[in-house]
Amino acid sequence: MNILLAAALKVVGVLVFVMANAFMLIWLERKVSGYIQRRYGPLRVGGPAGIYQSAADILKLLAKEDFMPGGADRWLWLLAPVVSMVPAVLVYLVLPIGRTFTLQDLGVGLVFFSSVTSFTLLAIFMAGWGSNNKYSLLGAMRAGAQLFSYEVPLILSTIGVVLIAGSLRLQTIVAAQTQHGWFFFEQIVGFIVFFIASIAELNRTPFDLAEGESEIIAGYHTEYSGMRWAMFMLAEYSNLFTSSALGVALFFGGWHGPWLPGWVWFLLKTYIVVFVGMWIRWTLPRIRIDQLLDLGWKFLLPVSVANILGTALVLMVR
Amino acid sequence: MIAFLVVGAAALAAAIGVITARSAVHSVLWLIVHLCSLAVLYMTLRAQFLGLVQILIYAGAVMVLFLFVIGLLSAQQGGAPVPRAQLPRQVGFAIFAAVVVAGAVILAALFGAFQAAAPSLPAGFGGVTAFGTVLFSTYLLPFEATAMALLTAIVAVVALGAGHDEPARPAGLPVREAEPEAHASIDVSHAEHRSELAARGGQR
Repeated sequence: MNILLAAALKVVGVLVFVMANAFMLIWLERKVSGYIQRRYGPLRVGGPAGIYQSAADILKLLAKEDFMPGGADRWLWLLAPVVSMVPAVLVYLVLPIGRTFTLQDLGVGLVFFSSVTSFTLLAIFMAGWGSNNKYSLLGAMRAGAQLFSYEVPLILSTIGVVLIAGSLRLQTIVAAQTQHGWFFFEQIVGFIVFFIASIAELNRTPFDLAEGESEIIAGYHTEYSGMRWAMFMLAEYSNLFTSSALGVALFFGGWHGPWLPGWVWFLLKTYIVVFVGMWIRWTLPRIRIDQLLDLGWKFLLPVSVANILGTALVLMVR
Repeated sequence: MIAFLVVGAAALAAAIGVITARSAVHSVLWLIVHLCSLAVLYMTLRAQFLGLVQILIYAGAVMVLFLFVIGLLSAQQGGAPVPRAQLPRQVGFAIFAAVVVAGAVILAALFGAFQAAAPSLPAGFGGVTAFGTVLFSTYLLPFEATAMALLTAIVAVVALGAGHDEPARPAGLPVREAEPEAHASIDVSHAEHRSELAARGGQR
């Protein structure tokens, strides 16, 4: 019974964090976009630092009608937002938050992360197909091509780190960096590939073709409203946090840092990476689908493979 | 044991879903549920790594390609119903296959294939280290042979796919009035491609 209770507590804790995180990141995203693009709205909105806007958002989403389009594939349409939440919540299991604090420190943590996040695409496809709307389907197909192309370099770019640390366990990888120095310096190529690929996996500008609003309305979530739409957004912001956290664990020493407790360093570094992601989002324009696929298959993939080979050679010579 | 029963039942139910679903997309989604249940079964057998790879490769990658192809090919959602006349024959084949498989399993059980393995598993069983060590020492030859087979399949697919139709403009891009130079370069590349195809045909 104790195991069940502990599991329930973990789930509740993660869900509360997902909500709070999304609440804060949406506020941050508005502010960052406001400062970068000189948008008046986000800079003039009411409350201390404009926090009322986020409260109003939540109220609106809760009160909005949940409308199912006619001719929708009922079960697919209903289940898609739920399926999108599943990987978003599951990946918290293996994040090395503090020196001794991981919800479940799996020996194959990195593989777990990759395999669970591959379900995001499934949710997008279910939403796009189930909506019975050409724009939704177009968005889903774009997301399919994109996420599939970038998953490969994303996984390959982490292998350099795994080779140096000699483990797939995220805690061991972080611990190795306390001795060895952050892997960012040695694996700078790996990090660049990882960062580009993870932005693409998150469907964020400049890779937001799946929901390109000037072309296909909102892509796969065109037909969603109210809380179902909000679940997609919650999952998206949660994924933004977790993929940044993975980057921090792999390349920036996770909880490693002086003076402050480990989890503070971990959150601080993660939110800095999140901020850089937002910075990129509001600075760069969207790229075309052929540029996107060329970048993935003709640049990132060869570079990440070369990085693995180079790392392996150096490790062998050493 | 309880986990095995629950997940096994889920796997069976999902497998029935695969063959009874009317739409191809539903079939694939049921298949994903089935493959994930199998992955959980592997994990209950302490094969953590194998279970995760099962999810990553089958449920995550292969099935998504299935969905992608279905999304590109079939516009209608209902899917083509099987003609009634064909059903008895198909049911006959299915029963035959089921009997053969069940017979094989029962025979294997009679000859003692399912006796409990060593009660204590070696430390780290099913983890990456144990898995990798066995894969790259004892089973290196089958592993490399599989890699060759897959590579052959990929090359064959590219060769077959490239031979059929003229290289076309990427679908979806607007046809623009190109400059004369651009025309020339496109023509050159076409010609090159044709000669390349011809050369390859000659080799075959």
